[in-house]
Amino acid sequence: MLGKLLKYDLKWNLKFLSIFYILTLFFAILTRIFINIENSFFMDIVGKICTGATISLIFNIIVNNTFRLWANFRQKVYGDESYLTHTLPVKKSSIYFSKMLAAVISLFISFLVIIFALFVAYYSKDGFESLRVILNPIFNSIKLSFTGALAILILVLFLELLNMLQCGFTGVIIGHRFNNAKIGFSVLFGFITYMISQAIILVLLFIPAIFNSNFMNLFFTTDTVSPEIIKFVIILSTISYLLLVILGFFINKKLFNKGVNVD
Amino acid sequence: MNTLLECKGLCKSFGEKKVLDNINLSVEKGKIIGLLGKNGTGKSTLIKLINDLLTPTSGEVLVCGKKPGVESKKIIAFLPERTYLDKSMRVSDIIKYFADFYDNFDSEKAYKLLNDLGLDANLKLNKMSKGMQEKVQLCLVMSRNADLYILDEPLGGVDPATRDYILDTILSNFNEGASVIISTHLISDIERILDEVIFINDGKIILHSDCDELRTSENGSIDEIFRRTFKC
Repeated sequence: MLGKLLKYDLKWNLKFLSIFYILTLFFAILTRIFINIENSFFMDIVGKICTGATISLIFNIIVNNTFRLWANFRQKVYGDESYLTHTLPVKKSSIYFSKMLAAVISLFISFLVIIFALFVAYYSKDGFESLRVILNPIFNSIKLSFTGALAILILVLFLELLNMLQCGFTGVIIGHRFNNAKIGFSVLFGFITYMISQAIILVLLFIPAIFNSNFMNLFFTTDTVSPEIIKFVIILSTISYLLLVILGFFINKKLFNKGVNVD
Repeated sequence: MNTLLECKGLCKSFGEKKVLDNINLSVEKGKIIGLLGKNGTGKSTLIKLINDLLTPTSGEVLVCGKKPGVESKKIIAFLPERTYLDKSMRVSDIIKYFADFYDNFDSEKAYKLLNDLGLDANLKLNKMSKGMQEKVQLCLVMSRNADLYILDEPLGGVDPATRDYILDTILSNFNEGASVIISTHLISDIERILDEVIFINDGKIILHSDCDELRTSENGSIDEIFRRTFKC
């Protein structure tokens, strides 16, 4: 049954997002075409418009994906459609698991589209080499390859967005217990949950700093910290976000399993 | 076991307000039961509790001896008073959706019922009027071979001409041994099909009786008895 729930959740979300994916890729191709035409004032302006459109659409994908997943969760779990969701012969935990999996998959596809659009619009061998020359000294100092470091940064960003999405779900679940159908409480509890999750990340990073003065400099001074510390921070924050997402998942699942009271 | 549904000491409060108070109820197989009461007396709350849409404050609901959950949802077909389908979907897609989730859903029967009511399965729900959407929902619910049908205001938004067809649909489309609970204000319309009635007032069951016995003892129709009981 989880597979069936997931199929419909993904269909609902991706049907709408695919319009933005196609538009983003379309403007990425136009950007690619127009920014390569030289010595033309008109083409230069068109190229800049296409660049603006591509970047806007990339942000749009993230914003739309996030808000659509939250809206879907509220509508299907606590709105009018909850009357169908909660009378389907499936476990409550499967309903939440499906929503969370749909969020992970939608976010992953969105990331792939964004990376591909950026590649289509802006990749050039020279440009990539220049970027490598600028960033390699930093990445080499922390003993990470260029692609490895990029992959970790994208992973941290992915986990951060996933955490934000899940905090929104928590906000809807907790908010609904207090809200009498007022969305304000859900937004408030979502914001509070997100702030708490960020505080937890900070505390997790602060604890090892207590035992290492060089690490502590990162929090209270502008002094340069050693490459090992930067590497440690990247790895620790990645693990912390991963643990936070898993912890949030189990908390939400438990809250959800306690039962719902639909309006 | 002949008991399909049991409520034992069921209470539900919203904050300080007690909406249901110590409901004890037993529904046997093969009955059509009218759940009747004025607005805001707890009918919908009771129905939501049976369908696991609300959690009880105290007491319990048992469907075939088990608490509401996956197994009870397999055998209960529920028609809520509001439109609960994704309005961006076509009716044919919703039929596939129901067939995907409910093993006892009969797609052919759904198409037949839709056809009888003149509804186009290729239309999206948001292109239909509220009355048409309600008819689609009823067709879907009655296309399940369920053990217990719970219909909350099934005639509410439907024109009088269609009401008789809907009542006939309810009568002719539920299994032998299945039961139907109908909550409605349109008592005179449904009276002819009821076996039992439950009167609910201020969150309490004030009457649960066989219809024929009640008519004889009170010397009137169910509609008249209801009017007398709930006179303002």
